[in-house]
Formats: sequence, C-alpha cells, structure tokens
Amino acid sequence: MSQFKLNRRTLLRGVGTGLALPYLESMFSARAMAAAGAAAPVRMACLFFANGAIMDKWKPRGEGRDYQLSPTLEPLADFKNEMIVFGGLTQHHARANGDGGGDHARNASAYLTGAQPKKTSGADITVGQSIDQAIAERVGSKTRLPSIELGIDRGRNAGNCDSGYSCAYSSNISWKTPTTPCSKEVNPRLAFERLFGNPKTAADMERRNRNRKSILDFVSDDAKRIQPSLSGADRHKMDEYFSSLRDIEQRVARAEKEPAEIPELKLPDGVPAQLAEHMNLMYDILTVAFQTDSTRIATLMVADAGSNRTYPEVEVRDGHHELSHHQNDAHKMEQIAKIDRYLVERFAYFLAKLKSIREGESTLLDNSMILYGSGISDGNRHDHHDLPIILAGGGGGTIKSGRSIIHPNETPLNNLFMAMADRMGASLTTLGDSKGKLDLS
Amino acid sequence: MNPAFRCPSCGFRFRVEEKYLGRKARCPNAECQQAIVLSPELAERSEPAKPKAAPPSPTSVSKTKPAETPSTPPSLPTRSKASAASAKATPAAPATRAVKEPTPERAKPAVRTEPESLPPARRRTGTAAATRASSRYQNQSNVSPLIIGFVATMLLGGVALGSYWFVNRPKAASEGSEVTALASTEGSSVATQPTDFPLSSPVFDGDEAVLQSEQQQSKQRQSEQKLDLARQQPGSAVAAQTSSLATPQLTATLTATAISKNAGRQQKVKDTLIPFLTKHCSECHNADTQEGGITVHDLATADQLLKDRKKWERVYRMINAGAMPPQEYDPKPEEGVRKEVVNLLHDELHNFDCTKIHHAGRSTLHRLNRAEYNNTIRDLFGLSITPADKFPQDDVGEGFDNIGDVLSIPPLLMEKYLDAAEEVAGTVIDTRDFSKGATQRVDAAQFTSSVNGAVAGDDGFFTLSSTGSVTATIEVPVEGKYKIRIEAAASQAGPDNAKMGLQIDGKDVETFEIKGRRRSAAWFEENVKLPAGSHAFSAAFLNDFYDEKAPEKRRDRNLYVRAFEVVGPEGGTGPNWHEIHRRFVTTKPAAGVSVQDAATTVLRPILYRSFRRPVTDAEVARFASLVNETVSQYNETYEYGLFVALQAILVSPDFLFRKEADPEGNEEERSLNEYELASRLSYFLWSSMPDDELLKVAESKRLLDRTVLRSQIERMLKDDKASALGRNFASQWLNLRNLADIRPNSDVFPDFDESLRSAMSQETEMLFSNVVREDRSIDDFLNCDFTFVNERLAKHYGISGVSGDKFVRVSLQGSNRSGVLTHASVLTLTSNPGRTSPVKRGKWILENILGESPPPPPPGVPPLEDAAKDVTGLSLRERLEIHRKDAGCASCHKTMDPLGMGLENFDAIGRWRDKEGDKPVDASGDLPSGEKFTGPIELVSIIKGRQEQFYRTFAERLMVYALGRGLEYYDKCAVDQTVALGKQRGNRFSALVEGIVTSDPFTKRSRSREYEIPPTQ
Repeated sequence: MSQFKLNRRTLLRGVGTGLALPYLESMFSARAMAAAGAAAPVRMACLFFANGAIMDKWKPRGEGRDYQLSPTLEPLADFKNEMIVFGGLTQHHARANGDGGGDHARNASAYLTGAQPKKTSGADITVGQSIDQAIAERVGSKTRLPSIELGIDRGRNAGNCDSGYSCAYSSNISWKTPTTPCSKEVNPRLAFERLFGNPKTAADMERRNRNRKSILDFVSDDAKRIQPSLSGADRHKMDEYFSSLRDIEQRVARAEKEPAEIPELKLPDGVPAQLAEHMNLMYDILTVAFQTDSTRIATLMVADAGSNRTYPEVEVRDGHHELSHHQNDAHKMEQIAKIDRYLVERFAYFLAKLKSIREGESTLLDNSMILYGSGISDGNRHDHHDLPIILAGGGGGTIKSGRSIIHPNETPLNNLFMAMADRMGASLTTLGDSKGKLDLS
Repeated sequence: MNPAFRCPSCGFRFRVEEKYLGRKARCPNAECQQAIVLSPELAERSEPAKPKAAPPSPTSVSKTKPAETPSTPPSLPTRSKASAASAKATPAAPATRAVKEPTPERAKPAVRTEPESLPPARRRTGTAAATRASSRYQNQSNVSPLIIGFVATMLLGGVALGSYWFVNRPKAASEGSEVTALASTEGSSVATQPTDFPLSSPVFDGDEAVLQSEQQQSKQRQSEQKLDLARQQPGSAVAAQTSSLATPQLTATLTATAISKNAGRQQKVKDTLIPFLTKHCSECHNADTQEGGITVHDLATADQLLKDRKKWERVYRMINAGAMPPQEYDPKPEEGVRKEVVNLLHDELHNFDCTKIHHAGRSTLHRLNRAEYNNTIRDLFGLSITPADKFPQDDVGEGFDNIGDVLSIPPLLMEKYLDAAEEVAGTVIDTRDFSKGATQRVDAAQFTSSVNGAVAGDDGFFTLSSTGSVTATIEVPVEGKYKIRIEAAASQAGPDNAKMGLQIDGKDVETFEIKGRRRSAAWFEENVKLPAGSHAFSAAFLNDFYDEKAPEKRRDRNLYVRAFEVVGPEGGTGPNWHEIHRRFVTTKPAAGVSVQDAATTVLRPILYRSFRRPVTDAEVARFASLVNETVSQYNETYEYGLFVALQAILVSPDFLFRKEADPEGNEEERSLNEYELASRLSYFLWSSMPDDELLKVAESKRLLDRTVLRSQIERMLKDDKASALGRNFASQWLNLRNLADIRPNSDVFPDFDESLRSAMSQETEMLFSNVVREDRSIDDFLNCDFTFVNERLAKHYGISGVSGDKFVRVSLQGSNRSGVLTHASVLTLTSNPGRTSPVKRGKWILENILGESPPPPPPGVPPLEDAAKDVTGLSLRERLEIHRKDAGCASCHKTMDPLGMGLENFDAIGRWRDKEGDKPVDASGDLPSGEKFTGPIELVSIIKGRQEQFYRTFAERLMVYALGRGLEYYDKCAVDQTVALGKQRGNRFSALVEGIVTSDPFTKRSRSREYEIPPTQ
C-alpha cells in the first residue's frame, strides 16, 4: 500500500473532458520542491501539428513586445504575455536535399532532431537523436519517468508511408537514438497507467516490483548469453532489447524508492471518438504528469505527419492533407485556417490548465517551456523555412516572454532547442544542425 | 531546346520552358530555393542552328585519341572502345562544354547500324520482339509502356560486400532435376538453377505426367532458346554444366555461344546504351553537373550495370517511364531506340543468370509483432486474451508490419511485455491461496451499476441516489460457507431508514436497514453457502426518497456503498485450481520431490513450446531455480514461483525473438534446421507458433522431406488459423488497414457508418480466405464472379435478397463488379473524403496489382503556382488532362490516370453511379499501350491480360511477408521459381506458398545480406 495519504482521493477528479484540476500546492511542495531545492523545476513539452499552416493567418503583426496576434493565434490572447512567437526559423533537414519527395515524413522526423532522415522503407531507418531524448538522457533520471511520448493518431499501419520513407518517420517525433523512435501512446488510459501504474494493481506494488526485479535480472542474463552468437543487425536488435531492459530496471528501482501517488482521473477505456475529448484528455495527462513531477519532458503529436483527418468539429469535412495542397484556392485555405485555429484552441486549453496550477509564487506555466509548431510552414509548397513556432511558458523565469521575434531566414530551429536544453539543466553543446543558441532572455 | 539558367546563388543549372521566361521561380535545388527572375537575358540559350554544347561522355571518347577530346566533336563515340581509364584521363568540365553535340544526322546512322552488329536472332526493335516471346523474360521486357518487367519495387540492396561466390553449389543435379525441369518449362533462367532443396521421391506425385510431357517439350524449346539462354549466362560453361538439362552437345553449343554471347552483350552496351546516354543524358548527368545526383558518363562495360545496380535501376525506371530524358530536351530519342535501351537495361539488371548469382539472403532477428504475440499466447495456453492489443503499433517497413529490420523494442514495449507476461501468467497459474480461507475485496471503482452513478467524494463511496443496484463479481474457489460483507452508509430522509438488499446472482438474499449516516459507514454481513465459481454480488437501494420541501439535511435519501468482501471458505480448503492451471501445473512438490524437481517437470514442456525448439537441461534448470528462489527467499507458494518463472519465459529473448543460427566457421550460408523452418512456416501461414503436429514432424526430422512438407502446407492452409493470412497479409498487401483511417465526408455520404466500414474490409478478407481455404487460383483476386456480402454491404451494392449481419456468398455474374478492384474497400481507401481520386486508384493498381511503383516526380515539375491555373468549373477528367499536358507529369500520369478513370463508375465509398451530379459518368480511357476501355469490367479484363505482372507482384509481396524482409535483386531467382511452380499448378495459392517455402531464401540463411556479384568469366 502506498504510504502517501496526502490528498489520496481528492487529487484529481473529473468527468469527460471537463477535468477539474484541484489545487495541488501541498503535493507539489512535498515532491518537486524538495527535490529541486527552493526553485521549481523547469518542464518542457514539444508539440507537433501536421501539414503546416496558412502562414498569412498565422503570422502575428509587428515585432517585439508590441506585436498583434493573428486570426489563427487569437485563441491564445490570454497567454500573449507568456509566449514568444518566432519567425525565420528553419528545419533544413526536412528538405529533400537530393532525396526527392517525402516532405511530410521528413518534416516530422527532422522536427526535433535537425537531422536528415535516411530515405528507406525498411532495414535501416536513421535520423538523429531528438532534443527531448537528448535532454532526458542527461536529466531524465531526476523523475520517475525520464520522458513521456504521446500522440493522437494510432499511426498508419500499411503501405509505404511517404514516397519511400518508413512509417516510423511519419509517426514519431521523438527519437531515443538515431535509429530507435520512441513509440507514442495514444490511449489516454494507457498513457495514464504508464505514468502512475494501474490503480487496480497498486496494492500489490511492492511484491510486483520485487518480481519484476528478479525477472529482469534473469532475462538479462539470458540475453547476455545469446549476445555473442549474434552478428550484424541481429546484434543490434539484441542491444535494443538490452537497453530497454536497463531502462525498465532503472524505472522499477526508482518506483521502489518513490512509489507513485496515483491521482484519480476518470478515463474512458478506449480512445475517445471525439477529437476534442481525446486531445483534452491528453493535455490533462500532460498537465498531471508535470504537476506531480512524474516527468519533466514530454512530446505530443497532435496528428501524424501528412494526416488526412477531417475536422467535422469545425465543419471541415475534407481531409487535412488533401486540403493543405490548396493551390491558393480561397475556400480550401479558409478550411485549413479553421483547422489551424481549432488546434490552437486546444493548445490554449492546455496552457490554461498549466496556468491554473500554482507552484509557490508562480504557476506551472511559468515553470514550463511548451513548444508548439510544425516542420512545414506553407503546406501547399512544403516549405520548411520560416516555420510556425511558438514557445509558451517562462522557463522558470528565464525567458522574456510576450514577444514576437523574427530571426534571419535560415536560422536553425535547433538553435532554439539549445536554449531550451540550458534551461533544463542539460549540458548540450550541439544537436543536429544547431549553430549556436537563441537568446530568449 | 529550352533555355537554361544557372542559379546565381548556388550555381545549380536547370532548364525551363520558354513560356516561363520573365517570370519568377525558385531555384530547384532544394537546399537553395533562391528566388530567381527568369529574365531572358540571363538564359543560356541554344539555338537550333547553333547546337547546344554537349559534353561527350568521357567514356565515349576514343581511347586512342584522348588528347583530342576537348576540341574534337565526338563523331566516334558509338564505335570507340571506351574504358574507365580513358574516362578518368579525360578532363571533364568546362572544356567539354564547348564540344558540339553530334547532330541528329550524325547520330542516327550510328544508332541505325547498331542492330546489324548483333546476330539477327537477338535483334529487337521495339514491339517487334513481342512476337518472338520464347522466353518469359523477353516477353516481359517488351516494354509496352505499362509493363516494367521485374518489378521496380524490388529494390536493391546496395553495393555488394563480402566475397561469396559459388561456395555452396547446389546439390547433385539428379536430386534437383525434377524441379529444374519443371521450372524450365517456363523457359526462364530458373531452368539452369537446380534448387538444392533436398527432395525425396516420388516428387510431385500427381503432377508427374504433366512433368513428362513438359519435359519433352522443354527440350525442344531448349534448343530454340539456346541463344537466349546463353545470353543470360554469359560465358558460363560452369553454369551450363550444372544444368541437368544440358546434354553434352547442348553444353558445347551453349559454351561456344555463351562466349560470343558475352561479347555480343558487351558490344550491345557499347553500341546502343553508351551512345544513347551520351546523346540524351550526359549533358546533365556528367561528373560536372550531376543533376539529381546521377552520373551516366562513366559507363564502359556491361558489368558495371549490375555492380552499380541501385543507380542504374533508377536510370532504367526513369527512361522506361518516359520521364527521362525530359520532354523538352533535344534531341528526342527515337521511340524504337528508347525501347531498345530499356530492354537492354532491363535484361542486364533483371534477367541475370541465376546459376551465377546465387544467394539465400538473411532476415534480421525477428521479434514477434502484435498479431503474432497474441496468436502465440492463444496457441501456447489456449487463452483467448489478447494482451498485445495494448502494445504500441508495430513499425511498418516494405509495406508489412512483420519486417525484422524495423521491429524495434523501445522501452515502452518492454514495459508492456512485462505487463502482458504478468497478465498471461496470472491467467494460466492460479496463485490464490485458500488453504486457510481468504478475504477477497472489490472496491467501488470496480463496481458495475444498474443506474447512473459514480464514485464521488474523497471517501470512495459509490452513490446510489435513486433506486438501483451496484454489483461486484467475485469468484470463489470451492463450494463452501462464505461470509459476504458490504460496507455501506446512507443519508436519511423521510420517515424510514434507508434499506439495502443483498442479492447474489440476481436472487434476493437479505435486506438490511441502514441506521447510520454517511460519515459512519458500517459493515453488513451475511453467511451463505456458495457453489464454486464466479458470482455476482449486488447491493440494491430499495427505498429512494426525496422531499424538496424538507430541510436540506432531511431532504434526500441516498445509499452509499464502498466495498464488497467475500471471506472464506469456512475452515479453508485445499487448492482448487482452475482448469488451465491444472493442465499446466502437472506436478507438485511432495515428499521426495523438491520444488526444483517439480518445477523442472512442469516447465520443460512449456519451455519447449515457448521457445519452439528443444531446450537443454541447463536451460530448464535455470528457470526451475527461479521458482525455487521465489519460494525459499520470499516465502511464496510453489504456484507463485511458477507464476514468476512463467513471466520470465514470456519476456525472455528466446520467446520474443525468432532466433536463427548463423552459418558456422567460414561457411557463407547454412540450411535452417527443422525447428527453425517449422517456425518460419507457422509464422508465415498462421502468424503463430508451430502446433504440436508440426513440432513433432520437426522432431522426427522429416520436415525437409518435400512430400511431408507439402502435406504440412496443405494441412496448415486448411486450418482456421490460416485466416491470419487474410488479416495480416492481404490486409496489408491491399492496404485494407488504411480503411480504418478514412473519414468520408458526412455531408456527401451520410450513409457511411462503422458497420459499412467493417463490412467492406470483411468482404475482401473473406474473398482472400476463400481462395486460401479452397486453394483457388489467385486469378480470382482480379476477376471472380462471386463475392461475400452481408445485408449492409448488399444494400450498398444494390444486391437484393441478403439479410442479416452474416456474410453470404453471392454471384456477381452479369453485374458490374468483378474482383478486388471493384470491392468497396479498395475503392474507398483510394478516395478522398469527398470525391473519388482516379490518381490514387491508378497508383494503387500500379503498385499493388501490377507491381510498378511510379517513380517519384522528376525534378523540374513546374512550381505549383504555375500548375495552379484557374480550374474551377472543370470536371475532374478535364483537370487531370490539364495536368497531363505538362510533360513532366504526363510520363507517369498517362498510365495512372486512365486506370483510375476506368473506376469512375464507383463513387468515393464504392457505390455504383451512372451520373455524377447531373452529368453522366465517363469511365472510358486509353492506355499508352493503345488499349481502350469504356468501364470497370473492361478495365478489369485488360488488367487480367497483365497476368504475368500480377503473378510476379503477388509472389513478391507474399515472399516479403514470408521472409520478413525486403527483397533483394538476387531474390528474383526464387520469385521465378515460385511463379513457375504456380503456373504449373494453375496458380493455386498453395503452389505459390510451396514455391516460396521451398526456395533458398526461405530455407537457408546467409552470413550477410549483401552479396558480391561474381566477376564475369
């Protein structure tokens, strides 16, 4: 049984999408504050949306503090002083660079890596480590989970995903190593159980952890025995098995030291049919994960690359991807803009949640860095420069927010990541194609 | 010639059509994309009178006159003996730009004289060769624009490494002779590749008669074919000798011919290909410009083509599709010459000699995917749970989710493996200990309820605010006396106290009066006698009361329930395990039987089946000691120890991976052992582990006996488990799984719903399963006169007389549907949400049925703003026609679009339509081959005419799935063998399976996937 009596049942409660997040300061101070001394830890989430945006309606007017929100970003009015809207950032390796078609697969896989994905649909998927994983590798051990990867789309299952690129490229933005994508969880209940364990088996947690430790020990010996007889790609597969084994071993060890307090959260068993509910639940789970300091690093794919989802919620009944090749057709552009705005509204829901949670003198949003963007700007032309990028949150008071900053064209998006890594306490000198570091203060 | 520009920023050189002069464009170099004004003054123009500087491919420059290169017009290229050495010696670059291109007048004679330099029998000009199709490959390489013989999707493993060459010659020819003869009836190069699959006699029992006559015929054909055969095995006396067919005389003939053949082959490259490349390609694809990263200037000998296969495959595809040279490029190749070049490239790259190029290949260590995991658990324990449903999606490569290379194990999956192992082990092993009686508790969160209500408040109560009940399901191990306890409270209102009824399995047992208030919960108890098994315990709120006029605290009467407990049985009981437990836990520790001993007995058979191979005593002892440790160190029961050990089995690499040993020592390849082969077979046909019978056959070492193997294949295909082929192979081959993501526009298609969606998939899977089960011809996929529908789908198709959810077989004779192309599933998944997409449909047919993935759009496709003219008010057909006017688009779309247009009678959810809006549907089309059709049925029959392509495509897709890896070029030989065996047996599904299962790639394993092409002798 968990020894944490603290707010055991009052933590979180909610029905459907209207999840009410209660005041959790006491819990917060019990955990995270203690862990990090007086200052609250900084959290980061990288969110991705598909197919770019109608940039005319996305780009704010003006630069610096006096900028004006655009029609698409208008739902973020409440957070205008708590975010930076960037212009001029480029993800160069989302471009063909001699590899031909496949901009969608490339835009997702290059988004957080700044690396050129190898064009292949089979054997040898390779891109680069993503920023969230690079940071998790360095500071992830401070929390129960080093990172969490969430998504909305289950991931395409058949066929060649995009002009010869493996589906792994279109359905993942988080890469643990250049060759291992981090599968994302799309089912809210399973995502929750990943963070906090299954409430049904919580009682037996001690015994369970003990079992797992001996099982993991045991099979790790097994794998070691097999290893020498393997060669080439086979050996690589077994390395992967090993490394995941170690990962779980560490997690079990941490869970033993610090059992998870399971917040109560009503979740449907399956994936909600309504998009808004699904997205809100995922944002709720991210909020809870950050709030309880279960992890400080997260990614969320609002849609997989090249998504052709329809949005009946805002009267868009044609496919997103299909529409994004609008060829300047005014009606199609308007439809796309509706999708853009709808997704920004959901993002605003998330920011509101984060802002509603107090951490000492500040809010959870103040102590976070939430990246929202895409590796494509104009979806019609598949441009990968001047990307739609927002960074919300104060990074623990280290970011001067409330600005529109336009960088010179071709500034690597990875330069922004370097600035984020600093704030996460991860010493990282370079990642992907980064050339320096953006100044956010 | 269109004007050329050079990007001022990056120096990239490109051409644009005249009409774009004066406009703005982006630099086509993706890395640059500089905005450039296409000002006519900046254009590097070439006037017809003043031919554009042409870089003679350095290879085309005579070896004897290197010094002349810069200033001499390459008037000799087609006759010169080029060499790589001279290529290197030739200064490339600016100087060569000044060299004049050969005028058409000069170039043509060279091309025209070329065929005469070859023996007449091999002369092929354009489609004329079609009439002389003695070889299947020749036939295929008669490139009607639709046909691209050996399939483009079959790409290309990379430049060879390693040094394998002929280390393992096939076994004695006499053993392989039947297969050889059989294959040779197809006249393909397989004829000379005796399979070394061990054969027992009699071989091909029932088909022997056919075999005989075919053999005789084949001899006759053989002599007719000798030239072609020899061409396929240049200079190869060895190859000819190994062929059991080759009589001594024939061998001599072949050897002699082969030598001259190889010379002829080299000559042909020099006389046809190199001049073509020089004239039409190397201006842009030379060492200096390297457009698209492709260079063609350094080709000197035929052998280079296979060595640098990846590049030449791209070249071949682009030329074959007509996408290169660009339409606006002058001079245009003569059609006959272009076809000749395409044939030549095709032959060199695909019709190579299987006796010389011989490699089994290698699949990467393969972990079970989701479907395989679920099925294996099902077959291992007889459970119906599907724990893998919670695993993350398997990554897809080569179009399938069972490709060893891409099946990774991220930490998330490892975590799920542990959860799944716990779930499975917990279901198999009964760890409950009732020896002293036990308390089983169910909290409110796990109640089911007859009314709306929820767990509310921080004290964990389920609130019943109106009449109704909550239920907890609890299993008791044995008949006996139990104490039932309910923890409950109430808020009071009205004259009476709240009343709660206890019901067991729906029957009233007792009524309690609850006196306390909510804050003072109490336990209400009842002793009952229960039979063994699961029971439903309910607490019912019997007397709801509400008085809005009453003061707040006395207004509303509610019942609150927090938990059920079942305590017992009274006096305890011995173990009473459930049936699955008893089946597996066959022995218990007892006097003289230690925990270690008992566990060894229990685990040995489980390990054998879980690892799908014999296990050593040491292996069993390790797992048994895990049981022992759990018991002795943690004071758990023996059963609990087994529960832990079973989990360890289920996350061990031996269970999760299908491991195959590498060749030993210096061997380059090895034959798989019986157990490895049994696993390959069962995961191929069942997506699951081998069953007891298959394991027994493997154990008796008879699986390599072809008759036995064949009867196993037949047995397995008839088993219900073979439906896995429909669910996992067909659904991915035909992209059916994408159907789940299609969201038709509900304004346009209000009828579309989930039941229709699932009926669509089911129709196609059922047709597939029917072909498998009845062992029909795979032709049935293309056109068969029946299908399977339920009421929902029948209504959708306008078929009357079908009712209910059950699928029934209906005839399609005389209807406008036939085969999978006309299935609603395929028609829907290739449509956009609001309308049909002929392009997607055409592409789908090309890729999945005909095996021709269109190459990606060539560079230089005009920027979108130029293509985006005002198209409002035009029909889809008209828009596509505009699109095709652009030469860059037309090369592929001229095939893709008409194929798709032929299905225009089906709307975006696959319903038949005669009109679109108020206009009649025009589903006619002209294919580049000259064939015409006016609607779906005619289109289907044209595609049916492309059987050859379809058989190959199908065999290749099935082989990718069977091997769990992408195909390499050397796998062509196994595909040949499979297609040949299929034809021999009327293309029955089982024949194709047998062809694959008996092929080298399936039965052997090489040290490395790469393969060094042996040098020409």
